Amino acid sequence: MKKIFYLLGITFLFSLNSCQKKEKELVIWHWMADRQEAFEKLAEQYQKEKGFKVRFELFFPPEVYSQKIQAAAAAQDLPDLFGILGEKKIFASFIKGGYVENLSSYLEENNQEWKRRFIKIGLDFNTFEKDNPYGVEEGIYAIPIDMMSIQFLENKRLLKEIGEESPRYWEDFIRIAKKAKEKSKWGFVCGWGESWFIYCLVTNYAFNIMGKEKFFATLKGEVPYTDPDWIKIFALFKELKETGVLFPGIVTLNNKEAEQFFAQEKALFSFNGSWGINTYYQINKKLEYDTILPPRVSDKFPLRIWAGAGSSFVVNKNSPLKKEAIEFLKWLTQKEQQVFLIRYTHNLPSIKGCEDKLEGNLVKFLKNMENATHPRLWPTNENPRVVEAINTGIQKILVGEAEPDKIAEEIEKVKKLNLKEK
Amino acid sequence: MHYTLKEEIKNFSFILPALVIFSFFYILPFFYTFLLALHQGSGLSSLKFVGLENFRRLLSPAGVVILSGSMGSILVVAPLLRFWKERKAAPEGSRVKRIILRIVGIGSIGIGGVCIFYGFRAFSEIFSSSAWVIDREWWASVGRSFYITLWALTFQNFLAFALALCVDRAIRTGQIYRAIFFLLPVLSEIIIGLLVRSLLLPYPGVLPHFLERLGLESWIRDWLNDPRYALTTLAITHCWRGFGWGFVILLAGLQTIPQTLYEAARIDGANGWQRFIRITIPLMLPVIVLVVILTILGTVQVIGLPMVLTRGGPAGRTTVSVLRIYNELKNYHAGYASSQGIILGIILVTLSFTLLKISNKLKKI
Repeated sequence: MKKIFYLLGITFLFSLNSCQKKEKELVIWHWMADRQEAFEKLAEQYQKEKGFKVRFELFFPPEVYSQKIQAAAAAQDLPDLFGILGEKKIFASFIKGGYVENLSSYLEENNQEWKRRFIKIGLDFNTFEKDNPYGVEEGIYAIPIDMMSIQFLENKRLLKEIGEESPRYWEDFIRIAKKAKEKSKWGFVCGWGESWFIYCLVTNYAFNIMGKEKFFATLKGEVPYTDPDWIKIFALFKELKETGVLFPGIVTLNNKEAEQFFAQEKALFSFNGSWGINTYYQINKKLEYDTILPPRVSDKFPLRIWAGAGSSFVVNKNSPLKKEAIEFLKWLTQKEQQVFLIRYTHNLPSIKGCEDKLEGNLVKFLKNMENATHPRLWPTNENPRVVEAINTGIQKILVGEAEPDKIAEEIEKVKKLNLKEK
Repeated sequence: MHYTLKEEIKNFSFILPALVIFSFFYILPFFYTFLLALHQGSGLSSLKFVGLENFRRLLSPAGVVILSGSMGSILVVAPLLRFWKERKAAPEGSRVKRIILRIVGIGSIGIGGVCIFYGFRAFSEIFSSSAWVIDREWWASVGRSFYITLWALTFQNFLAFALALCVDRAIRTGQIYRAIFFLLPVLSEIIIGLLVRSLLLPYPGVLPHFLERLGLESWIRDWLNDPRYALTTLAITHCWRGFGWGFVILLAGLQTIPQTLYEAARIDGANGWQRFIRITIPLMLPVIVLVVILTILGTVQVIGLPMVLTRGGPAGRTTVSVLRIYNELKNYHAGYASSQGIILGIILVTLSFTLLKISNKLKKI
């Protein structure tokens, strides 16, 4: 009798639980620690306006976030909206795995009303063209919520102090950086402990020294890394080392440390992304700086900088709240919300028409956008193992362990192995 | 006592929930890792079956042939020998257990057979030009892990043992020392890494500044960025953080040795060194082996410290094996990362078993 009583009790409790109607809410996963507060405020605003609950869940640092979505995808437990970090190949594998909704048709609705809002490069960033090498169906798969650009930064006050102007060419940059060193300031600081920064600068100069076609041909394996143009690029880092203009310990500095030293006016030049504005502002409100293109080595080809969508959200293809998620993204990319995000987080907007709302330092990062490129826009990307070999090789040059030509050979060896595997 | 099959099944049903949980959280992931190691891809979209390709890259084609041949032989011979013994002797243990062991044995023979078949089929690869081409970067990272382990086994454990011996006598203050020395291991690797990094950075490093003030400029080195010192810096930091574990375990072991043994030895005229060699060491042997195994397992799997201290740099000089596995996973090479994990696991298990065997032999002496 006692057993039956317990059984009935448990059944009753379970039935109560199932009767309780769950409130619908959109769940969004992201990695942007500096934006969580702003996102929460926007979520509140959305609930007030549309009566629909939105919950932003932060997973930080980005490495942890990447692992989280990878595991959630494997367990079919992704949220309604989420971001994908990393190169296009990774983005493609999420799409091919059936986790990401193709948003092209939604962007085309009402005579492309939604699509026409965006700055083109932001959408291009998330677009897969027809017959793309990743084998993904043509379409736009993510919505950018902000933009970024990675450029050279110069400390205007220090530059004035040593009586120099912005360097346009590499020789000028080296000369000015050396001059700064004489005045007890370091010439250049960058978070090269985060090695992708090295690859970023390498590709900037690859566009400038050998041109787009030859660079892409290298990625395809048609031009070897032992080519004189590549050795010339690697030699730039040797020159940086030999002139002694680099900030001490640059090979293990992380981006935040590098931002901190630049903000403290310890170095004249830096190489950083638009996301650094916040740090600079928090550490030194009086910091006078400007963005410039990396000093050119050659006039033969244009120099390209990395820019594009800073962070983007994708819609979970299997979400029961797919339509609501798309509606929320449309709302998030309206001018009012974008202006709120710009003011709150100091990031570049992903839509047009907000330029007049940008503060001075942000406008600087919009400069040189005509020179923008990004690995996601290239026809093919370099294999991560080759990228790792490039980054490690350049670190070897920076610590004086190897010569550019030897590094070129090492990289080519990895490239050949990779091509063989393919 | 003999049970009927029905009774045995009933008995086993009691451990079924625990077995299900164990299988779900331990055995399944374990087999899934093996399965992933035979594939190429991110694990998100379709995985491409590549057989032993990942292992061939890691261990060289010839290495895989030799390894699969020898492992296959063990997997076939061991259960066959067991079956042979069973045939002669009277049946032992429960029937269900015997059935399970038989199934496992047959499975082992099957897998072993496949390994031997592969070894024979690919035998000609031993003579090819690329027969011994291995993933040098991976093995270099394993080497770095063992370099740190060597530091931990010697410097860290000697320090821990010496301190434990000192504290073992200081009964009153023992608790305080125990708390102080155990503080570092309970602090996160990240905190320790950040602390040491801020101390050692060439600018505005605290230690270089301090040495300069003392007039010891010649002692200043770029401990984190100079490839000659970076790995040793990492090793010493790891030892500094980790000696507390060994200290606590060794101290607990020392306190189980009866004082009467020392008193008897003292009466017999044994000096301090003799008491240490004849009493402390033999009785502490199992604890020492435990500390050694835990040190090896803990040190080879270190990842947080190099990530914060040097991010694997300069020029990959502090990229240890687990950091390398992590980097492969980050690049969505789930299959290759799994194969690296398996090889590292095999190395660690082999080392642990060898140490246990050695300790058992020493105990008998």
